[in-house]
Amino acid sequence: MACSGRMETNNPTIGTLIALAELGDEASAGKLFTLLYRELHRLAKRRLARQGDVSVSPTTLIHEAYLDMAGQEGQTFPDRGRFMAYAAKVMRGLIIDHVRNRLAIKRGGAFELTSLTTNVGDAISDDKELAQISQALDQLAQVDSSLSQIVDLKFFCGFSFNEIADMLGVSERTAQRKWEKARIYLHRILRSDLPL
Amino acid sequence: MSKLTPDEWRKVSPYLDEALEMVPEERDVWLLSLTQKDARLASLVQARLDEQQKLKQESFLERSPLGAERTHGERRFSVSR
Repeated sequence: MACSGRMETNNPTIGTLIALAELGDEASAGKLFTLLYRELHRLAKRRLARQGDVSVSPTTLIHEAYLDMAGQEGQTFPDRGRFMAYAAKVMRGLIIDHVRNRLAIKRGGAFELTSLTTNVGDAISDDKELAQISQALDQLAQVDSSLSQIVDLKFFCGFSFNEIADMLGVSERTAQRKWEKARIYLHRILRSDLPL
Repeated sequence: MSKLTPDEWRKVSPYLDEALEMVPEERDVWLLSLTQKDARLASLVQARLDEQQKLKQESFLERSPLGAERTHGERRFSVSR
């Protein structure tokens, strides 16, 4: 069943879930992730079906999710920057699952059909490497979530520094500086054999 | 070999913020001054700055995870139908 993002009347809104997640409520964080994951996936399928295209960009999906969901919740919806940061983290999960599925198809393993069954070879990412980056990002989020958000938005979703700065309400220079710091931290985790 | 701990990161982090806003010449003078105050800290900051330059040259995390389907400058992907 497709999830439209519109909440049942007795269910919390996206705005409420984000607020609770920010207070450390793990159950709400889990619900928020599931809801956004389904919504992004639903939008991707809808777009592909409507346009007959074989692919869609993460940036387009996240923008559409924001417009759709903000339109449904109106004034109670969280600000764009907070929503984008959460949606980008969910997009990370969607992309890793997507790469994993493509690799499974390429290896003749799990029969997960995608709309694109050709040209999956040359620059395909290693799903294990992506999973390691994702784990390192989770560690970074524990230390400085503003740094991990930048990586989700830039590396996984492909937003430019200009777009990131605009949506998070910071200067482009600040977004770039946070990116540089995040890369240093992630490199230290991913290559933990390096001397300090 | 020691590893970067969250506490060590928190200690170095504000100095990195400061250093990354400076032009190289300004940074050299600043690092010299920091060395006189706290040589160990200055050494940690210098090492991270050197690492940052190396990562920049290597384009660390610059390649899209959706590289194979990058089209017209956008990262694109298909989904399970």
